Parts: sequence; structure tokens; C-alpha cells
Amino acid sequence: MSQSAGVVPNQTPVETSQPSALKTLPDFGGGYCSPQIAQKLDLMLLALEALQLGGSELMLRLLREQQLAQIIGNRVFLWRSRCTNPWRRSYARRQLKRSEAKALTVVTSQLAQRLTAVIRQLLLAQQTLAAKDLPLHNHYRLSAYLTQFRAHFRSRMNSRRAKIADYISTEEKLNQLALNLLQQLLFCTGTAGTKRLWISLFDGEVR
Amino acid sequence: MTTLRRQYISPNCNLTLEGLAGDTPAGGLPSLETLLHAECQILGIQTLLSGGRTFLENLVNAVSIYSQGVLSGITHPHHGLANLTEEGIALDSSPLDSIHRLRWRPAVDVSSEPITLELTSVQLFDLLETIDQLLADSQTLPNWQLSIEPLSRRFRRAEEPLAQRAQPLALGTVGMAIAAAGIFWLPIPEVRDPALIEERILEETPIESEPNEASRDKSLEEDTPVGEP
Repeated sequence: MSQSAGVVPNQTPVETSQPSALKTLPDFGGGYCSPQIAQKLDLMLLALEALQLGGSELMLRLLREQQLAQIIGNRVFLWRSRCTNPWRRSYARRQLKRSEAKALTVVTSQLAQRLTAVIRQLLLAQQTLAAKDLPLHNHYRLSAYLTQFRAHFRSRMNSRRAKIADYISTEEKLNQLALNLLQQLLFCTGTAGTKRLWISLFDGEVR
Repeated sequence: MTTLRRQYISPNCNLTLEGLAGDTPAGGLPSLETLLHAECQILGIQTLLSGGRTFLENLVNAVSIYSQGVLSGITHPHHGLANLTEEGIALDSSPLDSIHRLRWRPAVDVSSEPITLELTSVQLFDLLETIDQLLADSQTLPNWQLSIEPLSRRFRRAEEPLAQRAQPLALGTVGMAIAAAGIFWLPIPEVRDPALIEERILEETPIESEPNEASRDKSLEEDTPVGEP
């Protein structure tokens, strides 16, 4: 069992010089994160961009609000940190730093919290449609999200990769990915959402 | 001793705890230190989940572990899933639908089948939210903590299933077998002794006279570059 009540985890002490928003997030492993973590964070941010027009602007504003500008200072640094996702067309072939991953986690969680109402509305709509066996495009808002997500995914991911080609081959697979990400975003909006997201990123990554 | 009642609310879930108060700090709220009864009501589901300390611990552990699995996409192993003990709670889901099944065996009815509740993602999240509110409250069960830790590498599922990964190997083996079967029907080439062939060539080629010493020296002189040390 990975969790137990009444036991305090044996984690590395968190650096004191880092911004206060990152202090609650425990450290696992070394100073760099695996490509899977970069991929997961980038896809979640992609889903948020599909939900909110001008999402990248909002991400930059959140970085400034959370005093994370010293880690990801501007649009270029944000783009470069997201390009550590190996699925990207413009894959940077470098590993995501732990501090960058933490900053992206905080931004994902904060942005998801701001969009809680929309996320809940879309998930409820999806469940209603599934219960009535109706197609997803019957709900205008949900259809718009799925269309936007597919467009973002197709334009930014490297279609020469087998996995991406498989996703792009059918709309259903991309829709399912978009809905899975939407569900995961909902779980980031809670009281302990940021911490839960951060720890979940290391599932299957630690010894 | 004073009895306390604490309530944690989210849009679809209501978690109520009743217990005895501990020491009250000066000017602060009294802390609930001994739990007597816990109740959890999920909106849209008639069954009321209730029990004591064991029930609450099982509920918090099961929901927390399962939710981490939802977030990461990697199913966390849960010991209570196979056979639920008294007041045991386990969650699982079917890959075909997005319904989460919560199975609960109440303490009063241990012999019968466990009760199954079908939760939507929003209901499950609201249940988790009330649990996180409870865990964040330092005035309720202050000696009880829940640690969330990432899942070990050995539980990581391969991105591609074994059948898909074995496909190139199977394709290669079958291809090689087909090629071998095709080659089997080709006639065996005639083996010729290389020594005999060499002898025959020597017999057919006229022997040239060897160049004399004088002409060899001349050719060497021509090859040597002029002006070099």
C-alpha cells in the first residue's frame, strides 16, 4: 500500500530559498524530472488552453502572482519548459528542472481552480450524454472544448511518433484523452489539489 | 466531557463527525480528539455511509489512494479489494465506463454481500474534497495524519501492452520461417574445389618472363620524387 494513516513520510527537506508556493511540495529524486512528468504537465496545460481562450496569458499572470517569475519569467521560458515534453514537434531534448515542474504544477492547479465551474459543467454534461447514449457533440460547450483540444494537439505534437499518429488517427481516441485530462484537472481543484497532483506525477517514478 | 460535531461540506457530499472534545487552547476552538461516530452522505445516493473510527480511516485511505490513481492514470494496489473486512471500503472502476464503484461492508451486516455505490467523477471528487477538508483541519483528530506517497516503479504499467511489444518479434520470426521455407526448395549450388580452379587458370595463362634487375632499378628511380630529402 502506498499510503498509511498516522505515518509521516520520510521525505527530503524542502529548500528554504524557493518561493512560498512551492514550499508545500515535497522533493522526490534528483534535481530533474523524467520526460513522462514533462509530458503529463504539458498535456494538462494543453487541456486548460482548450478550456480557456488566451490560457497562456493567464498562465504567465499566475506565475507572476505566485512569485514564480524567477523560475519561469516570460513567454519564451514557459514555451521552453513545455517543450521538454517528448511528444512535442519542437521537443527541446532536455530534462525539465524540478523547480520548473513545481512551478508548472502550481500554475496547472491554480488555473484549474479558476475554471472549476466549467470543468464540473463539462464532466456532468459528458456523464449525462453517456447515460443517454448520445454523441458528445450534442453539448455545445463540450464539443467546443474537444474540438479545440484536438486542434491544439494536432498542431503541436509530433505526428511522426507512433503514439501520436495513433491518437491522431481517430477522433475518439483524442476525445477520450481530452476527457481523461478534464477529469484529472477536476481532482487538482480541491483543497489539497496541488499537492495531490505533484505527488501523482511521481507515481511509477520512485523506487 | 463536551460532545462536538464537525461538518465538512462540498456540493455533492456531506461528511459529519461526532466526538469528544480534548483540551481547549486559550481563545481557540476546542479540538475533537475522540471520534464517536462518522457519517457520509453523498447527494443522489440514498445509502448513508456511517461507522466509527475504523470506518473513517478505511474511507479516507481508500478514497485517497484511489483518487491518486485517477490523477496519475496508474491503478494503485488496494489490499481490501479482494475480500472486504468489517467496515472495509474499496473502490474500483470499469475501463468501459467512467463510473467509480465504492464497495462497503457495514459492521452490522458482515455476513452479507458488500454494498456497492456507483459514483460519478464529480461525486468522487466531492467525497475526496470533504476528506481533504477534514485532513486540513488541525482541530479535528489532531493526532491523525495521512501521508500520501507516490507509487513505486514496480507498479508502473508499460505504455504498450505485452502483445503489442511482442508483435515485431513474432513478425520477424514468421518472416524468417517463410524465407527459410522458400530457400529450402532452391537447388543446392554445385561445389567447386578452389584448388582445381586455380590449377586450371595457371595452365591456361602463359608464364611471363620476370623483369631483370636493371629495368627494376630504372623504374624505382622514376618513382622517387626529385628534390626531397
